[in-house]
Amino acid sequence: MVFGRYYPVASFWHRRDPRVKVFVLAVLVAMALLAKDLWWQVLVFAVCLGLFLTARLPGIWVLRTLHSFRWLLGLIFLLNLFLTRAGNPLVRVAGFTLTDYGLYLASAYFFRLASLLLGGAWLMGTTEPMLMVRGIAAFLRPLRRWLPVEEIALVIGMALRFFPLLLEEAGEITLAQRARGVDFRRQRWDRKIKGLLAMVIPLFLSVLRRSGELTQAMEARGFVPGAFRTSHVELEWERGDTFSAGLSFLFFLAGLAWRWIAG
Amino acid sequence: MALEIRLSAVTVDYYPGTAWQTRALAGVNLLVGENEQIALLGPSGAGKSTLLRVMAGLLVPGEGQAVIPEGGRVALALQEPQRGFFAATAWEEAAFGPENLGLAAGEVEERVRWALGAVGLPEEKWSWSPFALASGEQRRLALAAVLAMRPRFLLLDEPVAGLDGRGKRDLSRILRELVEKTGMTLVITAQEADFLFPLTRRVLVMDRGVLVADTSWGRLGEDPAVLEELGLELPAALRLLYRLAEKGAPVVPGQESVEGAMEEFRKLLG
Ligand SMILES: Nc1ncnc2c1ncn2[C@@H]1O[C@H](COP(=O)(O)OP(=O)(O)OP(=O)(O)O)[C@@H](O)[C@H]1O
Ligand SMILES: [Mg+2]
Repeated sequence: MVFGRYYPVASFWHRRDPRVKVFVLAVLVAMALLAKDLWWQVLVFAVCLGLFLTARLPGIWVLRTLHSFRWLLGLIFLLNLFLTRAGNPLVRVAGFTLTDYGLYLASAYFFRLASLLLGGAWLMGTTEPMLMVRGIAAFLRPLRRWLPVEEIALVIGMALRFFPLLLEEAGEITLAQRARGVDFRRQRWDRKIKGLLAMVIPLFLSVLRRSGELTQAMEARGFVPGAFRTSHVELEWERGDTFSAGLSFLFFLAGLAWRWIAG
Repeated sequence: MALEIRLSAVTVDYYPGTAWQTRALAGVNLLVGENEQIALLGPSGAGKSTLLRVMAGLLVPGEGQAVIPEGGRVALALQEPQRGFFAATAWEEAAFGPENLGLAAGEVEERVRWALGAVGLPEEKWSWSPFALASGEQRRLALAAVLAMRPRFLLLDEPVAGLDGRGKRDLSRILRELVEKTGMTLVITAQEADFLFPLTRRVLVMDRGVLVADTSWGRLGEDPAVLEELGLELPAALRLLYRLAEKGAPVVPGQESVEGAMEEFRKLLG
């Protein structure tokens, strides 16, 4: 599993200021949530795909990302397909009438979620975790008077960093249990349930242990919540950043216009 | 038919085709038969754990071939095996493996009893939570959990890391008894050659994914450059014999086993 890891190559997007990338993603999320229109969602998805590929992230990741979230994607798709009543009936399946509008909505939701996943993978793949924290903090700055902005950014950044670690840990535990004969492909369902327990419980314990260690390590290095912090890396704004931010903003306007026209 | 693990030109890459691609094994050829006791040495990152994973059939080589006996006959205890604990009692923890092999309840019970006994976990602790055991006992329970599958090939990745002197001696004794009674094949990695010397005969040395030597303790001592280049050392007993021989003492330093080395010391002391 690779979702959420930083991918160390050089690309246009890797060089961009983290603030711009957070902005681009924010625009994409807004766009994905703004309209239900299928073609709009396909367009947003295409943009995410474009970002992904121009960042020189491996194309296979697109498939892997979607594959790792296949249950969620499938669930969203089926729920919308089966529970939408409006529209012209297409077929009857198990007592449900599937409609053309249901199919349309289901596809739209599918693409919406897929865009969010790809967008997230793109941001995390092109931005080192600590820089991402700075980008998020910069974004939250206007709220500084009401919220502990730096802490929130740090927590988000750590959660992002924790995620790949968690996946690695899950891989190790899977290996340990396979060494003890767990075989999800061949075993009966009652063994599968036990095998699942054998994954989930150790993983849970290791998360507890890891977060304890992380807290201790931070405290040992003098982390005090709320204290003033400075960074070593100065963020530098380049022309490419202006360009990307401007383009995202145009995209944002186009989305608003589309929504306005499509109603 | 005799069982064997056969690796031919095995190459393993982690994250192939990405920026993190790491070659962990490069063209490894290896044949391991029954009743062999093997030490696997190499500096950190040499590919020892990866090799064991391939031998256990947990990792499929990217190139080359790995032919491995099926059905629980090869068992691997990973580094820090207690990380996989999940059951309510030590007994259930040890039963998980044989249950996964689809054995009948009576057979499972017999194997668990045997395995917990073989690692010397006191019977009153069989109903304890695995997490309540001391760390040395947890190690032994983890060993029992793979032993209960009755493997013919037991692969141990750093079994003594983090154990105290007593824990190491206990484990060494348990393993020696197991080999004597069952004739199983052992493949063990460890940082210290001292732990491995009494337990093994054949020595594999790895460096950066390549098997640089497939030899014995005696022959390893005759070619000290192999280990020196990798920052590794011979077992202390052999090092002492070589020093004595250097100083002109009448000993034969290149001993194949700990018994041989002890015999040399005994002769020297008259
Ligand atoms: N799960 C993994 N993902 C990516 N790379 C890995 C993984 N496991 C090992 N590697 C890499 O493969 C190489 C061989 O690692 P391996 O763990 O097999 O070595 P080792 O000899 O067991 O080392 P150690 O003595 O530190 O346990 C190393 O370069 C390591 O960084
Ligand atoms: Mg290792």
